[in-house]
Amino acid sequence: MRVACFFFPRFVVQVEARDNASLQGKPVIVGGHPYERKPVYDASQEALAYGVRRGMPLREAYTICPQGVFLPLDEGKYTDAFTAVLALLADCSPVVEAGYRELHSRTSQGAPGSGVSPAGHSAFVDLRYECSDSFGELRFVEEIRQLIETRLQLHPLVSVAPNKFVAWAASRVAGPGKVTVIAGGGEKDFLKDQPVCFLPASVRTLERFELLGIHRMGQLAGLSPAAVSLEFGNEGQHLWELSNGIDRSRLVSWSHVPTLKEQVNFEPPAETLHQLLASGDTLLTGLSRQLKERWQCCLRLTISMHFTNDHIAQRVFHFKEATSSRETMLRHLKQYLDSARYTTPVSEMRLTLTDFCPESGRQALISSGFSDGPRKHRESLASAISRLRQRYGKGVVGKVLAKPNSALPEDSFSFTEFDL
Amino acid sequence: MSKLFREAIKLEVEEDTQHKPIAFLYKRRREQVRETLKRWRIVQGWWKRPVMREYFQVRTASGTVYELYRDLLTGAWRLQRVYD
Repeated sequence: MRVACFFFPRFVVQVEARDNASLQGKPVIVGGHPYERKPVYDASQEALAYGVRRGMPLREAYTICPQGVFLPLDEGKYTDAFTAVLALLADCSPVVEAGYRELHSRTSQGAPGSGVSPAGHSAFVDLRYECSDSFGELRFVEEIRQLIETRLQLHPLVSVAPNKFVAWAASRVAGPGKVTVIAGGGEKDFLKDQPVCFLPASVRTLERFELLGIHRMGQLAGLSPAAVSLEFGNEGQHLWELSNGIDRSRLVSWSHVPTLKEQVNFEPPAETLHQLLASGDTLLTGLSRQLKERWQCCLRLTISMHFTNDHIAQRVFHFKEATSSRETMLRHLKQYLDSARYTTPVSEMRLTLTDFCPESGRQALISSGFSDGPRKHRESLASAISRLRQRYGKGVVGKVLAKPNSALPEDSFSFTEFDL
Repeated sequence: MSKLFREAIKLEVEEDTQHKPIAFLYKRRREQVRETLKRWRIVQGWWKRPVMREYFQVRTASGTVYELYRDLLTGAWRLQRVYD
């Protein structure tokens, strides 16, 4: 297997700088405003040079780098940008995997376990479908890199290696504008000088490596597998294999998650609940219509509000039952707007629907079909049951007796004889 | 809406080392688990009917939500409910 890895260092900053050219060369800090109690999500090279680190409080970042440009976190924008990268790669190869999150989250600079998402994004491409020799793969990968740079104006670090882990590690040390190629059989040689923090190890294991003086993967690879396994268990064995360039994991193909989006920009900014609700109603009417045209329902509604002071508030609603109803979604939007206390006008509102499933029928009470009063209803029901019993025998119609306190789902109801 | 199976259906489940489902076969189709929405245990005393189950409510790659459980007494996997 030959795998290409496209690693985007400081992806969030790259996206922000792409969308706003005036940020180029400035110390950019993404995460929020300095007075907010939030951590630094990502920072540009210039900000890192001042000592700003991912995961540190924004206030602390401000004291270190007061001239920094502080930007709010717009997760939707970054997700869209990364989806565009993956879609471009998926046009070039049938097997594309999104990210190596486990590695990133544990080895990210500054804040392991701080709850901050990865600094860089990476994508893997399986080359066996496209290239037959090393020249072909190099040309292919180079072409994709240029496509990403020209079409999306993002700058990945690119590597090609025999497996995922080696490709990922090689991309971390690859130079900008170049492709690092690790030939088959050269994995161990390449990894021996790389730091052990590249390994997907737990924080505790990394601390123990540090205490034992194991700083490079070559040191770990030189130990006997039995000793590593004895000291670090299954995790140690896995890390030993990785440090020897053995990674048997396969690429998990990425597939695009469909979404429906609608947004409205308020000019002048909306200040009243009535204005927001009216616009929300219009957006939801459109979304509901699109859902119904596709014969689908959704399970998730995301509401994003952008304020004039650059704040972004986001709320995700998970529906208990899949719905395409405008009224249901509007009820959730109203509930959210009622509960929120905003002091700043809203400049933009975005509504996103995800988690689609096929439209299905709803269970209704048997009595709902009878509208001629209870007596008539009782008579109709008795006659229907009598006909069913004549046709299919006794016991064919039962009454459901609900037992809501039952622990086991199968005991939560029972059937009894229907007696009118 | 959901369909609850009174007689839970026996399933072939691919599980990880912590006995979390990765994928399972249902109606001759392989359902890849995308996320676990809920996880809980039900333990019922021997004086009623001894039951020890670990339930998982999962969403699969196809978007359907399933409720399956692992019988901790026998190790067998069963499908209890399908949400549509």
